[in-house]
Amino acid sequence: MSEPLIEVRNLTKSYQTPAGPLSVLRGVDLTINKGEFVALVGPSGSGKTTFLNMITGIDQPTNGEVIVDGVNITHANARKLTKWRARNVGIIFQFFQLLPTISVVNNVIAPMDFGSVWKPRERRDRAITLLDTFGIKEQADKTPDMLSGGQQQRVALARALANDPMLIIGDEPTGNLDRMSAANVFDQLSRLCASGTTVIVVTHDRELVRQIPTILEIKDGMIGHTTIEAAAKRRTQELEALRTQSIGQEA
Amino acid sequence: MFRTRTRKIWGDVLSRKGRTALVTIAIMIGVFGVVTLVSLNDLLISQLRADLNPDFVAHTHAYIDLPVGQASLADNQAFLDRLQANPGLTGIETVEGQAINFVAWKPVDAAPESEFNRSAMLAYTEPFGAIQLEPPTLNDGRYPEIGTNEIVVDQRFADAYNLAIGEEMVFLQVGDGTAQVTEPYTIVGTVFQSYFTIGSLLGGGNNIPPEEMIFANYADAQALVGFNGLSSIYVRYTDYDTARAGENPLSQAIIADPELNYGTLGAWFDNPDDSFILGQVQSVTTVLNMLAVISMVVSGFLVVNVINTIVVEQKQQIGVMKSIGATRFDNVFIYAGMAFVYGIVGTIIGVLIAIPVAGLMAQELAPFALTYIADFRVSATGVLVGVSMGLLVPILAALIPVFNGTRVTILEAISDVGISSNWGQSRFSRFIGSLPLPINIRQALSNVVQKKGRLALTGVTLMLAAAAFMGVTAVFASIGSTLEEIFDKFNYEVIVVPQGAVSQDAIITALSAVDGVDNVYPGIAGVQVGLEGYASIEPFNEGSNQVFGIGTDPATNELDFIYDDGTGWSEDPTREGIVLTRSLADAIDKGAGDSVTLTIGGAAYDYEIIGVDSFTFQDLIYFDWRDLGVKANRVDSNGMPLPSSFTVDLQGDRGIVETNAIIDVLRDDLRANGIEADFGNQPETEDEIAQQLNVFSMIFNLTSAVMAAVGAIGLLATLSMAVFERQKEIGVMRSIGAGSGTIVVQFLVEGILVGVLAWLVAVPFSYLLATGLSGALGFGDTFEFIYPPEVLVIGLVGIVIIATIASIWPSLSAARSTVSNILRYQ
Repeated sequence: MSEPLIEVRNLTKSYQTPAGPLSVLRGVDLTINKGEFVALVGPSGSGKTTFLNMITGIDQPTNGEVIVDGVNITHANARKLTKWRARNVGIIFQFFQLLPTISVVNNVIAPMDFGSVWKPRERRDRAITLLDTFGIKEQADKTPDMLSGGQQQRVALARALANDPMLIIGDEPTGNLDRMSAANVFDQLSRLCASGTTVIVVTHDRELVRQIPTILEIKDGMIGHTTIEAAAKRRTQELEALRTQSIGQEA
Repeated sequence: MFRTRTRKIWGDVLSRKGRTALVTIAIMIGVFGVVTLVSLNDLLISQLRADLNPDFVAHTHAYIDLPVGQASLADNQAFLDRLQANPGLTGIETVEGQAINFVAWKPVDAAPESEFNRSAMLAYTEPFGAIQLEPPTLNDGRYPEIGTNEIVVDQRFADAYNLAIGEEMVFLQVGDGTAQVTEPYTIVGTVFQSYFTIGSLLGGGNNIPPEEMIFANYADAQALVGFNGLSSIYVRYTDYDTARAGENPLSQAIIADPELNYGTLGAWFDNPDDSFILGQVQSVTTVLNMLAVISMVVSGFLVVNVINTIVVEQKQQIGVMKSIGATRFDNVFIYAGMAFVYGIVGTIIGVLIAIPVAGLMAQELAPFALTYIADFRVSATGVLVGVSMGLLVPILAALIPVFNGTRVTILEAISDVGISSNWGQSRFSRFIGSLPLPINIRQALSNVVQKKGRLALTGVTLMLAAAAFMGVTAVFASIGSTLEEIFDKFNYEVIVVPQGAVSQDAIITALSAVDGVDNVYPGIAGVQVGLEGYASIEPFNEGSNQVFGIGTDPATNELDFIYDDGTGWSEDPTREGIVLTRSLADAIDKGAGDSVTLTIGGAAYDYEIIGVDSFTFQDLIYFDWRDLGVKANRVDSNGMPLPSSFTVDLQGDRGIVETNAIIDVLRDDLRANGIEADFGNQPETEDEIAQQLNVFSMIFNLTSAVMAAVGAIGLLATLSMAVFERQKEIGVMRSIGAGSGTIVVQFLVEGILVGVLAWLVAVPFSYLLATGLSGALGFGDTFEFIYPPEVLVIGLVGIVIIATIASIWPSLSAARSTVSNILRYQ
């Protein structure tokens, strides 16, 4: 049994709008274990990104707590949170968000510099190793605009892993990629998971969702936790119910 | 950590070369201006301070004239001894005499038919090397010996005429009805004359430039030129206040001398501890320094706009960097670092260009500051001030936008959609929304109101530029208008100042005989009289009651009087009394019909003011010249008044070249009659004055042009930022049918609106600036300040043009974006 990495207790997030308060998350309770590969799904505007922002400390909840690897990050000091995030969380954005005016290898080195992780002399070698892992070592000295979308996302992956974090967050990491590149990225994420890193991705990609073992479904501000097997069983039951209903009508 | 920050700084600076070039050029211009002008001030003032030894400065410079007879060196030395011993004159430490006259000369090897040059010959009552008051200092060679045909020249004279020690020149000796070329005189040395030197006041009291100075012993000079006596005496007292108190007693003592019949023409005073020349130069250079600093600060405004643009454009990058561990300080370091890099590059280039320019400018402008800089120099002060400002201003300018921009949270940065949720909610925005205007115009108005904070700096820059331009134009329009009024007054083209005592009839006859001469008017110019109740505001005569008197013949058309009080001589040219200029009448609060007491030649006289002339340029008293001549003791042996100068009215309208041609003929004609004279070309003088003012005007307008350019760049940057930020807004407008023209008009209107608002605010500022500038340059009491309404129109048209040009590129850029490209944004 895996240890818990992320514990969320009674997590609530509301926003004030001209039309009144809008509750995006309503008292969410869940636990994500170390080494889990989790997909966060739900309709547009359901709060998926908001949930990700809560567990990475990018945003603060209205109520509730978020504990990551035993550290309560709720309402933590911003500067400490920045340092914590640099060492423990790797974020992959949908549009890569690489720094355009520095080279690929320096993009990967950046989190090491900001987080003061690894000795300065080791950083470049580590960055090259990471790029090699993702098959883009030859692009090391190019700037991001010289790379394809798939290559840029692999650089973003390498950057996210620069400080060997325990948690990788991907907000639609394959949303801007072709099928082959998406499959490639998914493959990399799976391997990370297998090596013990916890990976949480927000995705609308059904192909991707089918392959991820744990699915968190956000609906009406609540999150339902399920697995692939459980999802398949529920789907089968829904189809059986429909069939029964139509046979009954025919009769 | 340090490496990523530095890489980001250099990466961004080098990737946007156009923007980098723009900002560094603006900083370079500012630094260039600061280094050049501060260096200029430093080099000129320090040279002046080195030249003007306070221990050698005379307190009183009194101008005298011996109309009849001839006084030898011994006579003059005895005269000065009597003055020093005079019990009525207290506090005199040193008194020395000067004889400054014009001579015609040419190099000994010049062709016989070649023209003679006209320069000044300076002689002193003290031997060279023993002169204590404002002496020329030996630069090379030796001083001349008496009676050996030896002279020395100022080093700048030698440079100007390409002469060296050992070379010879000949003089044209005119007198007793003959004109002959002398034996050669040898240049045995060169000197530096650092002190401000005026020739005789009868000649107009003009400064003698060092490039026209020849020095000889008194006896040799008198034999050469044939002058009667001294043209000035310099007096040093125990202190400045004693000198000022001794003004009238000195004048009276000179007139009352039992042996020599000197008349007094006037005096000016200098305080060795507070030299008026230093003050004059400093007042101009201080104004230029202020303009340089303003240019630098305006460059800083551009840095603010550009850094603002960068942090807005890179909002997401800032968020991403924070998400990978960058602290706020890291981000501040990066963006302030970019400003610092701009500053370094701009400063290095600006300083490198400014150093040689400042050195050369100082050498070129030194003569205007009445000094001389022989070699190329670098001002450490100028460089230090320029470097400091060049590095500090960009960083200080960048701090606020950097702090504001890096305050953004990760969430804000990565979820920015380009349109604020509260856009259009303010009362003003709702009011604009209700106006019956096309939607794009309403958008433009709304956006200006929404982004007023960001546009404020750009607006301030444009406002300063518009205010400076309109203010400077108004000042120089006032000056131009007054100058026209001044120049219209003089109905002559040539001024003739004969040397020595010459028959008035002989001169008039000789001058009138020349083709092209219409009238010849005798007169007296350059006599100072004491006016009870008057205190001069002239920097070299502050507090003195001395006023220049002009002797004219009221029966002639020499001067155009426009009386705004009384009738003067308009009905009766023989009427007794004096006419004051308007500025003088206002200064003493008197008008036509009032009486005043004048001190002329040491004696007091009551006069009725019979008219006030509308002239405001200078405080002057007009006399019938015969009356002034008698009172100033400028009389012949029969007691008949002698004119000191003649003005010649030529037929038709004559320009500079034609007048010079006639002057050549007049000179030759007088020489043929054994008369030597100095000539002035009135059209040329008027043109020189106008040109000097044009140079001033150009310098000031150049500064406002720099500010306008920087303001335009700032507007371009701000609008570019707006286009970038409002991509979604543009996308939405295009998707609902707005064409390219509509988008262009929207952003053009925004830019022009900022320009027009800047102009509106600039109008009152320009008036304040104009009056301030006028006062700072010392024009305030001399020129009547007017603010022509057309200046406002020119300013408005100019700002609209600048704003339009600055807005074109961002407007076209906005219009070029396709809907699909915009929707792919984010």
